[in-house]
Parts: sequence; C-alpha cells; structure tokens
Amino acid sequence: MTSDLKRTIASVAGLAIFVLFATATSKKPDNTNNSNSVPAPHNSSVATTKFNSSSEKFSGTLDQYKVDFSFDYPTSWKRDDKAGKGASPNFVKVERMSDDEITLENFAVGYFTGQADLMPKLAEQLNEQLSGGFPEYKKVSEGPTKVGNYDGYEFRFTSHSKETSRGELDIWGRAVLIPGNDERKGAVLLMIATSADDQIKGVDDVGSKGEIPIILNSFRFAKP
Amino acid sequence: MRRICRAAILHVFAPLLLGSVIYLLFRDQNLPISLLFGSTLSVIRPAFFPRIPASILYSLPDALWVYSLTSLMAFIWQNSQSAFKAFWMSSGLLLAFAFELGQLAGVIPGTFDVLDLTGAALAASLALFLNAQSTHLKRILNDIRS
Repeated sequence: MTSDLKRTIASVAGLAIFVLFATATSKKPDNTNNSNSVPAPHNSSVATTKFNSSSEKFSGTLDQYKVDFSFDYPTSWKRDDKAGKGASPNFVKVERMSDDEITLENFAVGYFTGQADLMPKLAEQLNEQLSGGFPEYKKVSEGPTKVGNYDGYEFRFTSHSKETSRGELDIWGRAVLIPGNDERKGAVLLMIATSADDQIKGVDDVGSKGEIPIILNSFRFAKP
Repeated sequence: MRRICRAAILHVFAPLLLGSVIYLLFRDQNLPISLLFGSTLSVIRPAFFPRIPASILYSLPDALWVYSLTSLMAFIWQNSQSAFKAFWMSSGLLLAFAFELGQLAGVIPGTFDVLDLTGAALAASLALFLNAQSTHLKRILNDIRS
C-alpha cells in the first residue's frame, strides 16, 4: 500500500470521526428544543390575573393590527402601563421583578401581520430591531416552534448588561412569531429573562422554566 | 514517537476536548452530546462559573473543531508531495464554511454567524502556521544531528 493511500485512508477515517463529533454537537433537525408544547407550570397554584386584549382600547398602529387574545399571568407580576399606548409596539407587557426592581422575567405581546411562509425573513427583521436595544446582543438559535396549539417561528438571543444595580447581568431572550390566518392577525411573543433569577440558567430556559410557562400555557387567540 | 503523541494531544485532542467541555457545561442541554451525559451536568453548570461571553460560548467550540481537524490533517500529510495534500489540509475550513453557508441557506439547522466563519479561518490558519513552524524546527534539528 502506498504512503499516500495510507494517508488518504487515515484522512477519511479522521474526517468521519470529526463529522460524527460535529453532528453530536449540532441541533437536531426537528428542533426539539424549540418545540414548546409548553411544560406544565412549576407552580400551578399561583394566583393569576387574566389579560384580555378584546377588552382593551388601543390607538394608532396597535389598533390597526389588533388581534384578540388572552392569557393569565401571576398576580405578583406588574403590568407595564406604557404598553398598549402611544408608540409602544406591544399590546401588553407584564414583568416579574425582584425586590430591588431588577427584571427577572418579562413577557410582551406585539403586533405582527405576516403569513407563515415569511417567518424567517420577518424574524430576521425583528432580530435587527432588537439588536439595537440590547448590549452585546447575539442571536443564538432560530427555527420552528410551537406555543400551545399554535405553530410559530422563534429565535433566541443573549445579551449582557454591565450597568445594573446588581452589577453585570446576563439577559436571555426569546421571540416567537405566530403567523396570522384568514380569521385573525398574528402576534409576536417576546420573552426575556435575566441571570438575576435563580431558576433560569440560560437562554434555553426562557419560557420553559421560571413563571413564563404559566403565561404560555394559558395564551389563546379568540379565533383559532 | 513521544513527540508525535505529545503534539497530537496538544493540537488535536485537547482542542476537541475543550470544545466539548464548553458544549457540555454551557450550551444547549438538548444537544445529542449533552443527552449522553444526562442531567448530572446541570449540577455543576453556570451559576458557579464566571460569566463567559456569548461569542466564546457559541463560536469558540467551532473554531477549536476546525483547529483540531486541520492539525490532524497537517500531521497526516506532513512531508507528503501529494497533489491532494492541500485539499485534505483545508478540509476543516471547507467543512466549516459549508456548515455555515448551509445554515445561511436554511439547509442545515443552526444560526449563520460571520464570527463563526472568521473564527474558523483564524483557527485553520493558526493550525497550519504552527504545523509549518514545527516542521521547520524538526528539519533544523535533523540538520544539526546529521
């Protein structure tokens, strides 16, 4: 056997091992980590408050793209009074904060009109918008997902803030685009969690740990 | 022989191991490699580790993979005059580019990132440079001995 043939065999074998290794450290094609058939809430006994967009009055763009939806959020969370008014892109925003007013988790619903086939492109646009608003922003994953019975498309991102009252904090985010259909418009669900929360350890925990699952479990559009 | 083993450990196995450790400790817990090790890792995960920038968590393992593969090919094809030498030695970089461009096109799951491409190019260059230096050093030592 010639020396080059031996080298070629060794190279093919080495390459195969490395590709196998790469496969073991890459996302599964079915994106199971994105699938959010919504885990059971950790504390289903938590007192909740219902938000129903149909009983709210919006103005401007929000009124134009209004969609009827509802969800329950823990009563201990605070509702942002600015959301749903003026130039706000969100119909509603609720937030869980620590005693020293640090955001632990927040959940917002914004307007969105795209159809399913435009999801990746629209996600990219939203990603660009968000990138300007967070320090050290980085999108870390993207793909199809599910929120309850609704098929959507999501991307997750990380950010890092050095200037908080607690010093440096990691910020993890997840944006889920739920497309509209003939019956109703779509919506963007924006979830954010920070390392100030003990239960959430990384971007993959956003929406599956902490208290956001309570909201996701109850999220419904008035029209399917 | 001992020198080859030492070089293989330093330039092939160690980078691969370091990349795996980053995946296992800090990255997605639903990756196949993480599932192999079960949930025991969650005990020693993040809270106890210093904060690591996202660029390192998400781009360094890929760069280490390219470095390791390029080093392996450089060892295998050292002193060869074959016409295929260049192809094999750039296979790590070519694969990394193919993965990234596949992600950009939506054919391969994952997120396209220019930083990954840059990291891969730097890693391959570094591996080839260090290998060339080591070969050069070996020649000098051989010349001195002879």
